[in-house]
Amino acid sequence: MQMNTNEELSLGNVMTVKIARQGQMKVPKQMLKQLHLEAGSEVSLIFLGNGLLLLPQQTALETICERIRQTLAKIGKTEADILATLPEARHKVFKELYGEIEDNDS
Amino acid sequence: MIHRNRLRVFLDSNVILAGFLSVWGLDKAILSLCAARIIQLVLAEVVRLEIEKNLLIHSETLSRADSDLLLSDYDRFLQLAHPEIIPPPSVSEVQRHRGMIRHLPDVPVRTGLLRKPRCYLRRLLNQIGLSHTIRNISQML
Repeated sequence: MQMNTNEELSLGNVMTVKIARQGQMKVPKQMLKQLHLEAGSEVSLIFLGNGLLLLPQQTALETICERIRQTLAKIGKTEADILATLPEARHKVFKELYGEIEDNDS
Repeated sequence: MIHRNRLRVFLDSNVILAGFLSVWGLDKAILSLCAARIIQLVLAEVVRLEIEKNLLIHSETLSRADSDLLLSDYDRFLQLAHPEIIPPPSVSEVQRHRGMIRHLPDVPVRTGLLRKPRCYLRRLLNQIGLSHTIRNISQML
C-alpha cells in the first residue's frame, strides 16, 4: 500500500482489513506508527452513517469535556443552563468591544 | 499551521458549548473532528471571548480552583483544535453590516463569517449530514 510520508495522514489512504473473531481488527503497522499508536493506546470509534471513523486523539477531548461537565455539575448546572446565558455573554462582549455603537432598533 | 485543503467549519458558541456538555450528538461529532484536526475549526475572536465570558458567568458560584480548572479546560480544547481565529471586526465594519441582522450583538459574529466565505456553517452541516461532509472531505484531500 502506498503511504503518505507527510506527518498527517490524508483520508486518501484507504485499505481493506478483515474483522476477526470478537470484533478485533488489525491496523497496519505503518498507520499505527504515523498515528503514534501502540498496544494499549486508546482510540475513539465514531459511528457515521454506514461507517466508523477511528480517531486517536479523542481521549484528550473526552477528558476535557468530562471535566467541564463534572465541574459545572458541582453547582447543578446543565447544558440548558449554560446555553441559556449565551445571549447575556454575547451582549457583554459586544458592550466591551463596541460600547460606542448604539442599537437604534431596540 | 493552517491546512488550506482541510474542510473549514465556522462554529458559533452554542455548538462548541453543546459539544462540551453533551454526551453525544452532531455538535460533539463536529468537535471531535475539530480536535482531531480532520476539520479546521474557524473561530471568531468574539465567539472565543463569548464562550469564556459565559463560563465566567457560571463560575461565579464555583470555588476559585474549579473556576480556574474550567477556564484552563477551555484553553486546552483551543490548543487541541488549534482554531483559525478571525479577529474582531472594526466599529466601522460592524456599523456597515448593521442592516444584515436584527440583533445588534450578532453583527460582529456574522461579519466575521463574511470574511471567511469558504467556511461551512454548523447549520449547513446539519442540513447536508455529517457523513456526506466526511465524503466531501475525502474528495478534497
